[in-house]
Amino acid sequence: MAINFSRVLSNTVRPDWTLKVVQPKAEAAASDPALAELDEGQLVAACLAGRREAFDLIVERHRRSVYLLCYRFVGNHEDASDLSQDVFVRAYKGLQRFRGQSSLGTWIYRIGVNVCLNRVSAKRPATEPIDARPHLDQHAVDPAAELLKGERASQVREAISQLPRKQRATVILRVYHELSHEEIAGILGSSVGAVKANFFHALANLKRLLK
Amino acid sequence: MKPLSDEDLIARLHAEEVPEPSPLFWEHLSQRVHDAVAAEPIPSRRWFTGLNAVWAGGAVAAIAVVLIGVSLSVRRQPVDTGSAGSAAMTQTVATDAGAGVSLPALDDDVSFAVMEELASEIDFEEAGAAGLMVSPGAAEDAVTGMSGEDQRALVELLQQEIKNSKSL
Repeated sequence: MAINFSRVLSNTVRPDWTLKVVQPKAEAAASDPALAELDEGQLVAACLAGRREAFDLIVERHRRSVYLLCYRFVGNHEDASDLSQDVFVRAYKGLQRFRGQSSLGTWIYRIGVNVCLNRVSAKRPATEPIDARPHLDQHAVDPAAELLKGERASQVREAISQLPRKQRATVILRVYHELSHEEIAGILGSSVGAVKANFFHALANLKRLLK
Repeated sequence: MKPLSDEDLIARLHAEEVPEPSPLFWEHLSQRVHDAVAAEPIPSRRWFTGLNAVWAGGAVAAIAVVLIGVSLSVRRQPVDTGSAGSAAMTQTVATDAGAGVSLPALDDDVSFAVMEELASEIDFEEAGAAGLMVSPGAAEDAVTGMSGEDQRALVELLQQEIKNSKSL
């Protein structure tokens, strides 16, 4: 049976409301083509000139790396999310101190590492609770392998969380963010030699903890 | 048990992945930061961050020169021989000079050492380019621009300083 939709529609009462799709403010600012063309130095200058929306673009460009950095330190989504917000707010408040001597990303990493180290020294990182982990799919290729993978990941997180602060930061930045020794030295305020030594000792400690 | 090699260990570390958050999370995070930042005052450069090294060095140099000048002029202040009370002071100075302890050595003066250290870090070429140094011929120009009375007073002052330096 065919339905005459045009007739149905013409018989309906026109709603007295309109549907308006509102773009989130942060998203709207980030999609501003004039801002999108600016490089990092120009975005910082725009922020300091009072254009807060320029900072939305900085957040958009660095939010993923900051979140991943925070997650590596605290091991759970909720804390990583809160810490990421804290990192960006601190970056905004200290934006006038950014001199452009390093990239903006490196400067934000430095803030992120400091925020995370302060957090983990104040509170032992809570790893992801069991019920927050993805539910094991019984129809997966090999549920036992998935379970083993999850356990090994948990062991790695636990071992990293037991490292001293600088060693932990060095391992996270070197292994997971693939930064050079020089970049890590800049972020941690250490010498390149100290970073290499920290990395060496961190690997030795991890081998001991994971054997 | 066989110990882990560096490569095995790093491979094991790499195997530990961060669970990918919901695609909606990124916009949510941006919005949270946006709202938090909106509550903060707009950051602005402090006035002193606009000063570059040349101006900062020039300012330090100028202050150092003024302080050294004041310090030296206070040390070598000519004694007023017209008053009765100062006669005894003159005698004391002369006695001290004879004993070789009239003034503390500049090397032992902490304030002078501080000023010397500050001045040693200054690039005088840059300070001169910034207009903070006396240009050649400026002293002559200043003297020739004086009135006759001022010039006589200046000559008397210089003669007095020469006498004082000889007596030390």
